[in-house]
Amino acid sequence: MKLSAIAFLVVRTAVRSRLLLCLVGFLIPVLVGLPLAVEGDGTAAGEIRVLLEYTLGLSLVILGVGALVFSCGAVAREIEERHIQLVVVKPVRTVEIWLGKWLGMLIVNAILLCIVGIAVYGGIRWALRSGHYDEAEHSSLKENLLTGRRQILPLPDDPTSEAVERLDQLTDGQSGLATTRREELFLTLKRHILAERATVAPGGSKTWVFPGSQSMGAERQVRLRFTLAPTVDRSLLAGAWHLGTASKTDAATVSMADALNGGNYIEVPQALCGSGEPLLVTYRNAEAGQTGTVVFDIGTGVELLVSESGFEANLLRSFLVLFFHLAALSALGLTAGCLFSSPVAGFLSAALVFVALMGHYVTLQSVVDTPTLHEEQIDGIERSRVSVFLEGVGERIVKKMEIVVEPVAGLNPLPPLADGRLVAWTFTGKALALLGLLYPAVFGAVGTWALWKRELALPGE
Amino acid sequence: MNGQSNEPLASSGNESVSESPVIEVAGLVKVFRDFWRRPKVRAVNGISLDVCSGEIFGLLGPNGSGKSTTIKSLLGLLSPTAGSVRVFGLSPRDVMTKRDIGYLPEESYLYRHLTARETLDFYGQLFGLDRYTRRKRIEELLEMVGLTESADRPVGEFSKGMARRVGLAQALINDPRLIVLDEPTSGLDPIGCRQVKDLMLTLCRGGKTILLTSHLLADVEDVCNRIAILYRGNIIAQGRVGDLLRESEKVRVTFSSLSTGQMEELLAAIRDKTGDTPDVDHPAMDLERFFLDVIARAHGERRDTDTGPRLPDYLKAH
Repeated sequence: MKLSAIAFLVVRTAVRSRLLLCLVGFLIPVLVGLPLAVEGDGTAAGEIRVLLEYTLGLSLVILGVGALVFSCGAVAREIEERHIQLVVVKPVRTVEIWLGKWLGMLIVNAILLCIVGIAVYGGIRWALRSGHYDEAEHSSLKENLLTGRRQILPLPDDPTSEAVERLDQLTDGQSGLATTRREELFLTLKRHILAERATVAPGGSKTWVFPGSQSMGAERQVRLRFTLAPTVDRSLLAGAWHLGTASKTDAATVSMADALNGGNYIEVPQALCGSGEPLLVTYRNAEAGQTGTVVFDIGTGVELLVSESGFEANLLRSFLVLFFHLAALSALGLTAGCLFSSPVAGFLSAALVFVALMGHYVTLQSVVDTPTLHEEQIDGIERSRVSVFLEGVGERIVKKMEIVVEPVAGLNPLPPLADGRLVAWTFTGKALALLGLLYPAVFGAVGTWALWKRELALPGE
Repeated sequence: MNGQSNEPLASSGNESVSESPVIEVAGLVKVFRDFWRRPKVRAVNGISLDVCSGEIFGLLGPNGSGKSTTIKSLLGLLSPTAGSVRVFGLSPRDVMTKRDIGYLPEESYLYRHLTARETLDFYGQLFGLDRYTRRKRIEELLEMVGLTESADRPVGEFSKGMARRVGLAQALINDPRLIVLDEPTSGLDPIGCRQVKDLMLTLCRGGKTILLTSHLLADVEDVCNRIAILYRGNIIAQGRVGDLLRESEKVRVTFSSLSTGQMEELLAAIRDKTGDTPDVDHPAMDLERFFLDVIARAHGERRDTDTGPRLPDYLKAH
């Protein structure tokens, strides 16, 4: 009863202070104006992707900022305006206050997400029924985008041993090479080898091995998607794809023609699916003069996509994941509000999110993994001790934050949703466990402790 | 508070005062510190006091004397720098203690967006009262504080006096054994002040313990059994109101009326017996009673038909 009383107080405050109205006011231009203003790539898929990625992404940014700011104020402003004095003198534990506020924030977030969800889904239905897509576009959208397909990647192609061999050849007789230099060279070689392996020259071939899976049942549609990296070579590509298993080699052969730089699809024959045997996929490029060099995308050059879910279910799971994101942000804001005054709490929590995301971006760019950092001398040029020290501190902070950010950084449902890939229940469950439970529990423990320790009637509070 | 009483206030002495202390404060010190943890103000400087069950105890003192700090320490809103505070024998931060406390702060820190009824319902829920009990008590309390007709208006639209009444109602929703009132008559008109004082006396007769602070010394004198006077964080006087105010070396005799001749004879007799010449004057009605009389006449009401505040039944049950 106490929790629900505090939670509904938060909802009432959000409604009556017109915060909810204000956020809806911010969302309307995004939900209505953005799809009209951004033209996409001119295709039906492009229009839908604008809705699913940009409109939804920007809406989430607005909701995230709103959740953070409002949750900071939900405690900090109550302390400043002294409303909390009348609450804490009642038989209510500080954990109940924090939890009640958080539950209230969850209700507010759910209301706003429902509005966004209805608008986005309504926009898609409207686009599909408006008649400006022809039959082929319509069915392509349903097969490739408005669906939930599980992604199966080929077995990893580990470049380590080849990189070690090449490194030994390169550094033969150069024992004086610094350790950090050697490490940097090794990383560069690994990247080079991966790039080489993604390249098929005229007359060459490359094989990918996909793990056998019973889940690729005969009743499910399985497609091979290959993605070409943009290259300066504009020659027409000609080659053939050979699909098979160890027992049925070359069970199917498909010629490649007019491949696009984006995703290209090949139907995998049902006879090859569901056997449990590893699937062998080989691309044989045509001879020189008939084709150019084919360069596959290094990350997801070739992948199998298995239809597993309808679009609506995929969208629902994506919204659940977004809801958990907002739940974690609200928990962070509430805890900041328990520790600091409202402007400080708002600024610090926003700064923390920004620094964490930037830190993750820096880590992704591998700057901090570059071994030559922290050297006092690079290429014979002396560096100041201060800059080396600051570099070290910055790296340590980024790496510590990465421990917290890394597990949730991959929990963004928008790229797979906008690509027709499955947002699986396991993915949703992981988001629930981390963003919906673990992180809020940690924030809640800190916030409750701060509220318990804090003197709530100090002069000037 | 609907039925206004213009009768002289009941005697502040309460027969049901027990020796068992509800509040025990021993050597309370509170030092406020600045951002760098350096001592800034010593608001309370080692005070000790006990408040017994069933009494009305008043804390008096000029601004900044430590009254509100003492009260906030009693409620667990501030942590003592030194000394101990016990309420019902427990720490004031204990949740069990808070079940039996009603608190009206110096200013009514109410949620502006909630109506009076929603405000009372919210605090009722924090005490874990069921829906039926809450509804019943809310109606009775709204009637008691005279806000039945404004019950569905947001508190943010209320005048200070009306907000104060809502604040008082929320302090009573849990049928508390201890009621802590910080400047309870602040912002109220004379009728409201009188009603609050009547209410305090009625509650006290019902066995409630009341701790109050006030700048209005007449209010404290009217209702309190005992008082403590604070000055710069120290208690400089403490005791029963009658004992503290009694001028034992003087005697007052009041007659209904005397002729000039009778007066001369009496004064001569007194001079003969005591060798002293007494002061003679006409007792004056205090301004509060005069104001209330005028208002009552304007309303065409008769003083002797009024019965005081209509206290909800659940508050009388002790």
